[in-house]
Amino acid sequence: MVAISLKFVDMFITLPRKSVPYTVLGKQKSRNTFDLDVIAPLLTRQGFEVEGHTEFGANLDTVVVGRIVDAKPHPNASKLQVCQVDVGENSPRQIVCGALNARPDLFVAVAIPGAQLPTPEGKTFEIKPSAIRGEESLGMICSRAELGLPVRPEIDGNGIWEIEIDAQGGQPRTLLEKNLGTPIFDVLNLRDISLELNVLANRPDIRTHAGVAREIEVGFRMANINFERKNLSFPSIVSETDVADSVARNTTMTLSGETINAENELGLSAFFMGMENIKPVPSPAWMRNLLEGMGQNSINNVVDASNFVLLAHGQPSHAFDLAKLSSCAEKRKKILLRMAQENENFVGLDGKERALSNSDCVVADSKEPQAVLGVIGGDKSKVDASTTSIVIEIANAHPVAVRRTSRRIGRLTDSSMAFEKSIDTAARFQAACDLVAIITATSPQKPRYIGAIHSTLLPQSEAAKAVIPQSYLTRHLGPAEQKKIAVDFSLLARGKSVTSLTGNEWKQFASEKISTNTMEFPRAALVSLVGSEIISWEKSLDILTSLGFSVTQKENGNALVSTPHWRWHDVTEIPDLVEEIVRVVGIDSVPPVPLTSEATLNRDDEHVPLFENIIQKTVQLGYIETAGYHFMREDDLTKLGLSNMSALGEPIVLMNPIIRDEPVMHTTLIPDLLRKVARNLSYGTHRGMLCHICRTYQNSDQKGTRVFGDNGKMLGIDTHSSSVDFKNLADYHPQHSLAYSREKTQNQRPAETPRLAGIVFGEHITKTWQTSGTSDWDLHTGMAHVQEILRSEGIDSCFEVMTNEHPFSRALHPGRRVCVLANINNTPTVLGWVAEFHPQALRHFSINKTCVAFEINLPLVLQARHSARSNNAKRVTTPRRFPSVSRDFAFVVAEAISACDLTSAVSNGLNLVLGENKVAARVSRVDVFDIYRGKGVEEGFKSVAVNVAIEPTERTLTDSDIQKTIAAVVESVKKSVNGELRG
Amino acid sequence: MTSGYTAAQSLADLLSASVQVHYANVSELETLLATERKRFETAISTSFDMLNDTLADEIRVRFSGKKSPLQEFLKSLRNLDAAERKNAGARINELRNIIDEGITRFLNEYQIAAENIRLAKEKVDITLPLPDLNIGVRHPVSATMNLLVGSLRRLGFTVVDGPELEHDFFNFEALNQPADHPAREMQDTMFLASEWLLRSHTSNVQAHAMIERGIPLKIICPGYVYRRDYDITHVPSFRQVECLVIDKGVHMGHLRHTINSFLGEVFGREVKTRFRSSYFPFTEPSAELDVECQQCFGKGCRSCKGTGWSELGGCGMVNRNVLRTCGVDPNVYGGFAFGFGVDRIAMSRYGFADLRSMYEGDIPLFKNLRNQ
Repeated sequence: MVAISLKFVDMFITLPRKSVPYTVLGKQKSRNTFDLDVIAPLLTRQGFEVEGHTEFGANLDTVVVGRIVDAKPHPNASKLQVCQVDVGENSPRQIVCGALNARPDLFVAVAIPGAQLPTPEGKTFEIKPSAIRGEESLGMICSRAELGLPVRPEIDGNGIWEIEIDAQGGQPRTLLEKNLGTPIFDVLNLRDISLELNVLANRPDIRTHAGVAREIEVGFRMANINFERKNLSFPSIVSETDVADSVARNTTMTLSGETINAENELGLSAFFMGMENIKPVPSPAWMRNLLEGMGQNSINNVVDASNFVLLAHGQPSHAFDLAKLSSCAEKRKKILLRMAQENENFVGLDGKERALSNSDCVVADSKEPQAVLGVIGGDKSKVDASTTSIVIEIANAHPVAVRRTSRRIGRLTDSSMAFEKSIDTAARFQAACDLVAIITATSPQKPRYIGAIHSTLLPQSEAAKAVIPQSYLTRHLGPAEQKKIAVDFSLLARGKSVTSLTGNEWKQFASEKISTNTMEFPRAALVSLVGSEIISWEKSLDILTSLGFSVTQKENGNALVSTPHWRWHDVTEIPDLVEEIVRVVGIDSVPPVPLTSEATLNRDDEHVPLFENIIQKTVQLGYIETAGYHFMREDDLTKLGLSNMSALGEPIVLMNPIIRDEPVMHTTLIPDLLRKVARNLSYGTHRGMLCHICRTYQNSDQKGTRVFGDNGKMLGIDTHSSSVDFKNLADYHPQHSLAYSREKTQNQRPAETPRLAGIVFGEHITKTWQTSGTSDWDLHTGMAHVQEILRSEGIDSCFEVMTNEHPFSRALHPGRRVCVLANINNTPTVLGWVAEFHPQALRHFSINKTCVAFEINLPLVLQARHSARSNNAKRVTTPRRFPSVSRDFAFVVAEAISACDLTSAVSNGLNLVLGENKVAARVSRVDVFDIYRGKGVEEGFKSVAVNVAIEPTERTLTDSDIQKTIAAVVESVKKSVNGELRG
Repeated sequence: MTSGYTAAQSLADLLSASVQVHYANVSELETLLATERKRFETAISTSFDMLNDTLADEIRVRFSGKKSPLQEFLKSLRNLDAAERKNAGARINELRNIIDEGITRFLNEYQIAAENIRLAKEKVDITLPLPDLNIGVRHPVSATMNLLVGSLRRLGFTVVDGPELEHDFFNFEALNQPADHPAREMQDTMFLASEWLLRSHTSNVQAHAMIERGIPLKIICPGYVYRRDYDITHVPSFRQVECLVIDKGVHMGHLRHTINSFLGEVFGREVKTRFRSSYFPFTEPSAELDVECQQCFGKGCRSCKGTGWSELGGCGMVNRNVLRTCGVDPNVYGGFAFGFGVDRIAMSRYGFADLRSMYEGDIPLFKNLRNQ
């Protein structure tokens, strides 16, 4: 976001205004303010969204110009005066004032009762008529501070604002005399509207006021709005050509009797100008008001001129006080562009002391850094009232180096922002001329421009190489020129070697409007990219012309277009030209055309609908789908009870995590879910079902080869020393990850494994007015959920007790944990697990409720589904035609017999008698529904009740059928598990 | 009450009274039948309030049960002369029909009356809380994503997935983001190693698809992306969906039409759109897409910060450098791409003030989303 002052833009192009009425001192008046309704939509449409605006001086209409007619000591207070103030009314009004500088015939800012003045806390307070120690006071004579304006005590004093003094931002008495009673912000030309402009990354030129003026101009042309282009009117001291010429030729200059030269270890171009007979003074009112209106501080005319040029043209510059630079020999001073030393001390213009690092670029004298290049100047060599000679540095700092340094030292300046976004290097000589002209125009004496030098290139230091990549230099320079960098990139970018240029060539270079980028723009290009002729060819060329492109029509109807230097870096191809036209005309004017492309009916990637179905099924079961950030903490797995953080495969450590205590990419979805459970518990939700479908990540490719050798090194996190036992990783093995690309090989691609995890906590059945008791979630319900989820994909799953081998086992209740298996290519394969958590694991996550969870590897589910498809034939596909027959049995069996042992025995018995040519029925259900121990059942035994249901397939079953079936069941149970039918 | 008592008592007397079942001839039988009929009529005319289920059943048993007088009359038929038997049998059957019909009607009527009485008493407090049906909820971003992806699939786009852990080439280089592009700074992107990172947009799938699947393409790439931001409107992992068309003769008119159709699908009606020129390295020309604010319909409100528009995503014509890098001849093929951050859309769709609240897994908050 960039703040753009419309008053500033108005210095380059006349902006439309509208009349806004207001009332002050009972009089209806009106003023012309900038017409935002015209300006803002135009900028927004052209790609520069106006996100907001602030009006400087808003709500201060009742602070007006006044003149103290009379001031007498207050009869009852020694420090107060009773003033009679003329604000253009029939008679002066009486105002009590405490300022010492209140005196007759002084023009002042008067707040009329009703005025709302800003307070430093950002609130307002209202001026009311009052009596101060018995004397009536009908308003307030204001200081600058009381109006929210910056105060510089050495200029503004500590009393009321003397609005006739130029340095205080005032105006001549003759003008004030005519405007008694008129709002002060209007009379002093303080009023301004500042736009918050969203500037695109490819348009750093729009960060400048001259650039915004250009953009507005083309909009005005399109909308047929009248405007006038204006130039800054400072008498020229030196021409662009002359600056370029002397930069190219000279390596030394003599300034106030001292010989100056500059050396450069950075490889970044820079030049320096010298000026003598400088006498910094407070800036004139127009400059001070302009800068302060934009929230800048006005320092003195030299510093302000540099800031003005930056805001106007986007060119940062810095002036050093020559006298304050160290000498390297008698009458010799040397400036060096180099890397800072580690921990080198530097005090900036903001007065703060900083330790620099060896990745910071600095501008130093022979002793120490005097500026952090592109970021901030130094306090030691700053220009102040004592300065007589200055050296002005105009360098081309490296955007990334500037960004890093400014972030690291915590100082974002207009200069650093300009460099970060990249500057218009070709315009630097013009900016230099403007700077010299403004300094001269704002100085009461006559400063002398001495000349300019380039910096001589030393070999790029090692530290510099680390920060400023060769690729950056080569992109800006041909390889041959790199060795000879002596001057400015923009010159060399034209393919000319410095030494080969004659003086005349330099002059020619500087005077011609440079364009390295000339291309033929075919007439047909616009329509073929846009689809329709949204504007005539002639008009589209007009747009380019008003944006600064130079356009010549060729005989074949095409045009030859050259890019202006401020657009070199982003306008390089024909679509770029089309974009310029389209954005000015408005993309909304492009007519929509239906896309009729070749009807290639593709299939979605196979896993996409599968995962969607699976999560949908999980949610149907009652789970709430959550999302997380995909990171975990270093100690998450050990908190669960696992042996180390690589227990589920080596996790990937981020080099620059955003959440400090979650620096690791997760290898399981469980810790995040447990934290969400803990959060819900702590906020008073004591039961719930949560699930998450998400990828997990490992520092290993599918073959188990480590990918990132330096994993964790940057943060000092050791993921590797506890080696991963791939043999037992089971469903966490990276070979079960999903290949998300179709590259020739997945080798050296880190594994991404999508998983589904669910967790249920607290009560399953809760006490309500309908239920009699409560019960917690249990393993079997969790297993049912998993089975149902897999069944929705046609996968028949089974469970087996999880052994200690499984990598997750140590987090889980040793007696209540299972692996879920399904057939993949006829081999039962572990897809994941379901378990109740180990209470110790839960305690480490501050959970005091029973939790049952599951985590399933989804690529394995995908494979299991492939295998399941071939089994579809075995499924029952006909509806029932006869009522099923159901019988209950109670068998007494030994404790060691599992439910599954018993039901298998029952099923086996059934299978013996049921079938074609036997009892014509099929098994529909064999379920354990009760277990009894105690009276009537011997110790060490239990009575297990089983419900058996069979479905007749051909006819209703006869008594004899049923008897045969029962007998077979009883016999099978007796034989297999030694179970007796309970009497 | 007295008469009630009497009525009940007389019914009880009637049911318990001993009945003469023996007869010697038809005329005796007729007398007995007449008496039995009278008793039956008395019994079934008993007021329903006097009755309960047991009494009603006793009446049935008394008159049509296996030991009812009627059955006894039938048994005694054999005592009559053969000549009389037929006539007598007919007489008994006549009464049996009357009783069968009467008892069925009586029991039906009694059942309805008894039910009405019971129902009249069965009142519940309908203000009691309803049972928790425990139905799950999709995450708001997933639900929104499904809406967007569903619409795009109906427009003929194919879903293509891609890696989240990505090599610099696919995330930046192939997408015309050169080495010193600001997006490549550590400030914005999370890095795994010097040339590996968490993808900062789903556009990496564009490069994969062009290189690995070939053209023409009409694809959407939904998925998680990562940025180094964490505040009220930014989370480090969030979801985008991106659409890419590569074919001969594709132009901006196609882009506009596709977006219009897509938004029409999503909103179920035509919505006003606004294209603002913009900049993305991988498209040229590029634009930001705004839709009319669905809270205030263009008037300006808090949700759209008074602009009347809400930002939806970015779009543009695929940059020729991207095509070139991915092995597509830009002089023959062209294409367009558009993409949206799904979290932001979900945020405004569900009215969340803080994006992060969608990632905390707060159960009551999510349960409230069911109907949306």
